[in-house]
Amino acid sequence: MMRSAIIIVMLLAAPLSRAQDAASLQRFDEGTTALIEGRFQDALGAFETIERSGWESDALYYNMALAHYRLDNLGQAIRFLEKARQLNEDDPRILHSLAIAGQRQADRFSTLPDPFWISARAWLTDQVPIRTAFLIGILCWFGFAAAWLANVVGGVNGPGWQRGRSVGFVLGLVLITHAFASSIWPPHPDRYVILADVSQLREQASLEAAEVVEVHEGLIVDVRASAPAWYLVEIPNGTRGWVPSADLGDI
Amino acid sequence: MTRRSPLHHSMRGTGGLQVLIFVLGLLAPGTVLAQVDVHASVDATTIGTEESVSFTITIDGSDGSNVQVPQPPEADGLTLLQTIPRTQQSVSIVNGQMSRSFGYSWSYRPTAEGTARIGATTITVGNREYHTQPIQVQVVAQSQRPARSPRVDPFQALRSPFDPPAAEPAPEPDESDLFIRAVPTQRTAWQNEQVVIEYRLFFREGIQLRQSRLTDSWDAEGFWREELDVETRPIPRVTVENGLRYNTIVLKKAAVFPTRAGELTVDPLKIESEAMMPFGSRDPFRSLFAMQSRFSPIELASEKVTITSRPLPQGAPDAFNGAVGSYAMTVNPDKTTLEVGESLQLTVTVTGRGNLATMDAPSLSIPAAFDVYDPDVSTLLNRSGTRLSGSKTFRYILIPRTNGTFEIPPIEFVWFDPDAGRYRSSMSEPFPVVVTGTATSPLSVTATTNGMPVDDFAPAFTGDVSWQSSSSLLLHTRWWAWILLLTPLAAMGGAHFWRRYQDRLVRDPRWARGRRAHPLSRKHLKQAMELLQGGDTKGYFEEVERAVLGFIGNRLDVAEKGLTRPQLDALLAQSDVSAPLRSRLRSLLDLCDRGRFAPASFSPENKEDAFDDASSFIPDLDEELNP
Repeated sequence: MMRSAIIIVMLLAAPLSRAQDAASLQRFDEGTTALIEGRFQDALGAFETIERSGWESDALYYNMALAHYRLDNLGQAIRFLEKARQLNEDDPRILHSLAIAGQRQADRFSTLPDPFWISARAWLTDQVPIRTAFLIGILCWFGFAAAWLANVVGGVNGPGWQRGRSVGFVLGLVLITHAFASSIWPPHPDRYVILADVSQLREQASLEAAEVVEVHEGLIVDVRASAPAWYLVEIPNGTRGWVPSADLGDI
Repeated sequence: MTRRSPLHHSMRGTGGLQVLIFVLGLLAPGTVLAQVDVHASVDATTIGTEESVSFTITIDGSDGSNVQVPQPPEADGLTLLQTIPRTQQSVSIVNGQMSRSFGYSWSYRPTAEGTARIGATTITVGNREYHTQPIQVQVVAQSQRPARSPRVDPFQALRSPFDPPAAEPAPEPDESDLFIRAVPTQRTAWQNEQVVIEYRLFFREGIQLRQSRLTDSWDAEGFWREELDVETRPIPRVTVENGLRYNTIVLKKAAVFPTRAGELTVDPLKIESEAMMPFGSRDPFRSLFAMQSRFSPIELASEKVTITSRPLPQGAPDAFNGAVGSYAMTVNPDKTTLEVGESLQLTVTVTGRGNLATMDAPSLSIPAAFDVYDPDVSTLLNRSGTRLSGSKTFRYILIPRTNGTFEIPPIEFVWFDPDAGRYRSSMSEPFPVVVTGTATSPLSVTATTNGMPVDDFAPAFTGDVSWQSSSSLLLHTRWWAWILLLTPLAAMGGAHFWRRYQDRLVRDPRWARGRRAHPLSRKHLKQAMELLQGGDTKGYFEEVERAVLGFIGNRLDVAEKGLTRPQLDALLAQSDVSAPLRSRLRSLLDLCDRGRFAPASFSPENKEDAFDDASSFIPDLDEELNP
């Protein structure tokens, strides 16, 4: 009885959900038209509606970045360009626009190189993304289980089957471990963008604390810790300081 | 009756020129005092043993009223001819500028050949003392001297033009009487650094020049050059060179900028003129008629000037465009709010001292939404100072082709400061430009080689879009990931236990029969119910009995068929089955026997009671067999 009720609810909800999705996509077209016509605030209103509905795409984030750029919101423009790049790393339009926005960013900090183990993990995550690793790992894991069951239940055995089981077990274990480890302990810390025109990194999470360095809109920082209304961030040259959370936007 | 002022009275009594000088003196006494300059000079630095040398102290900027009469300087190898000095004073007004001079002069005669020396002396003007420098005079045998040239009268320049000349005949001037000296501000310069070369004409007092003109041959290859202003009617300045008194005027000033590194040479400056030495005759009529013939053509040339040009140091910023000097930059837009298609004029002005004429426009980084036209360049040079200075203005026209808020980024101007020896820069502030209206035509921007616009974002994304959920849940927080991970484990665990179960069924028949007891009993009871519903009473009771006895046989692992009722009861007693339960078994089996042989005696309710008894008996027996 309960099962029947769940199925009925899902069947009724499916057309409703599809209607909501269609509405969201229509809003994207409206926003893009507004963007082309120079109605940037209208465009942003439409795009933000889609974002709130739970959809995302490189095109959505790119167009949001373009609208913010036209409104002279450099920090927001860089923020959404980075979001777009996370979804589509190789798109030349995104990379070009990021370079253009970067030229306008006022800060010129050197970049502190990562320790080799962090670089290695980042490289591995880039080469084998979490979802890919998990998908392949689960397939190996299921293959191993199927072979094991065939042996236990059906008595299927032999050197080939044994090798297959071993390979499936080891590969699945490595990939699934990599996927879950990268999910729990990401190789890169959370990245944020400075949205305020000028912001001061301070030694303590207080406006009365001494200033460490002054940063400008559009600078990408790593978040290392947090306190109520404050983030401890690290700028590219390794300098750390506390910044009001209102000055930051997440990527 | 009108009273006349003392000044008016004085004018009437002393004459116009003197009064004018008096008034000017009252108006600018400080200026007169501040310009006092004292020179000591001789009329010749080489004389014969039979000649005399005239030593003169000239006080420029004084009329002699505040000068204490100096003592003649002591001399070695020379004898003073008179102790009381000759005096001379002069007042002149040229271009509204008054100058005064006062002089003392003594004559010395050599006592022997060799190097004679006129010592230093001190002269007091007002409350201030001035010291002259010693002068050496070479005394040679009279036979080595050329025919005696008229001695240059040191006061010739102070005399009225109507005074008769002092001596005759007048010879042609030689190199020591008249020359041009090129004076550069420096001999070593950075590439494109400004060097000012001043060409000064030195001429002995009394020499007159006319019809002077510069030849066209002056050149400065390897330099960018700009002329600086010199006075068209210069007032000669008196200077002493090697003990000789000269008048000097500036002929030409040029700012030169070496355009390459290395040893670069500026050509000599040449002038052609006619010169006349002072008259030797005191006969004014003779002098007047002889004046034309006394001017002789001369050609003067300065020495070459060699400038060592050093290349600019490495590490110039990217924005450096060759400017060398001292500059400041301003950036001014004529508006910051405009409509699409309207023009914005951006004025970049560079002001300072240096190679303004050759510098390029600073590079701009204007958003590609603007059409930018080549700038209108205007240069304003100030040539009147000691160095070339001025300003250069670049006016850019910007026309937006789309609407939006754009930021004009900072404009950087970099120059090399030769004094500090390093590059400096000036950066303008960025400013926003708000463009309203709608673009009437598609935005046209210059594209890079990969199709991207220069200095602007790529166009908006349109068309097909690949959407995905924006849920930010990480993998380890998703339930389905754990389900997928654990499902194979559960399957393998289940298979493992199933395998062990199957293995025990094969390995342990007693245990296997026990595991089958219940299922077989349920099977028989189910069949019995079907028979009952089908009206087969006999078959019904047979199945009930089979279910009960089958269960007992499986649980006790005995062959139930062939057991008598007493044997069955004994077997159950051995298995610690209670007497009431054994009694229930006997009653149930009796009921089944009656049902098989006299089925008609049972009502439907009796039949179902038998079924209920069997169904409850089997679990009760199972419980007692498994305490």
